[in-house]
Amino acid sequence: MKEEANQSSRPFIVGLGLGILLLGLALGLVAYVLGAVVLIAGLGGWLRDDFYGRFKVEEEAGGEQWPFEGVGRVKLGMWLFLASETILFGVILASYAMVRMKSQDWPAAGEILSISHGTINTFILLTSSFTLVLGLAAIRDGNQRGLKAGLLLTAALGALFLVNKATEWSELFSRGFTFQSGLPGSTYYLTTGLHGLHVFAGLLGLAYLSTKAFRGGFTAENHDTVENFALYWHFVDIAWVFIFPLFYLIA
Amino acid sequence: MDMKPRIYAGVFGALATATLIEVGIANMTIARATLTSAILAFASFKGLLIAMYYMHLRYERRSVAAFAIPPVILLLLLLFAMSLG
Repeated sequence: MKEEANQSSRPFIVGLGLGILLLGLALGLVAYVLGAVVLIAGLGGWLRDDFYGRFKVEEEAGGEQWPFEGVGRVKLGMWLFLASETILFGVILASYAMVRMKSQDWPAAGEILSISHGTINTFILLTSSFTLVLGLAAIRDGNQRGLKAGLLLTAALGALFLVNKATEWSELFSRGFTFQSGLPGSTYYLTTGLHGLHVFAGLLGLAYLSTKAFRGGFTAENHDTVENFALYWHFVDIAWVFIFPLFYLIA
Repeated sequence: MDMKPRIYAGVFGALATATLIEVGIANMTIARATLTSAILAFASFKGLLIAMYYMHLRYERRSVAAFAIPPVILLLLLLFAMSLG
């Protein structure tokens, strides 16, 4: 392995792009566009490197890793990212709970939001987690077909979740329940919209993984990307596991 | 790491059952506090099952599982701060 394989400018470019994009909040459209371009270039390059196996990092045997011995760097990074995501969703759900507790009149369960829509979406996401974990188990045994089936089914279920969510939003809009419908409306659309964006990002990840899987890019020894992505997908599932009862079931 | 499809199927069965129970509880006429506690207990149980078995936290080092602690502490602090307001 070349020595340069350990070095990649991609994470730096992604960070730079994200930084410029956020500066756009203060500086306006030009910074937004520039940030987006840099971010997409960084992410695209990163994925290309991964796709062609140019970024294989071997953990240093003698390096100090306490207290994370045996845990891969990228996996550790993913857990750190998920910790920040926990705070993001936690803050939104906690503020929703607080608003809800202090409100005198809030629509009863099933009055505005359809419990059946929420239940169906819960089953869709739970099943998608199941199919993804089966795909991961398959590639651990070197079963390429199992992985491909797992990834495709997971993507199909993720897309179905978004279709069901879009149908629900459209029905709610037509009944006059919109972003402007006070706190019940704004909290619902903000939370489920943010979650839907996460599902959409997951679908992009699944599209990438499926393409790589169909080119034989994963083996029993080399499937860390699938494993690390699966952590993200299951986390999005966990977020929904809390959103569903808080918004749909508790009167 | 114990990655048997049979275990995953069992976990899926438990998650599906817990969801049905949640919906069942929501349709019962019981005190709001009891209903909320029961439903949130089931949701936490589901979240824990996914994290432990699908995310394999059960088989990871404890130091990785410890990643879940700081966000929870921050959240509790935030809830406390908001309750003051």
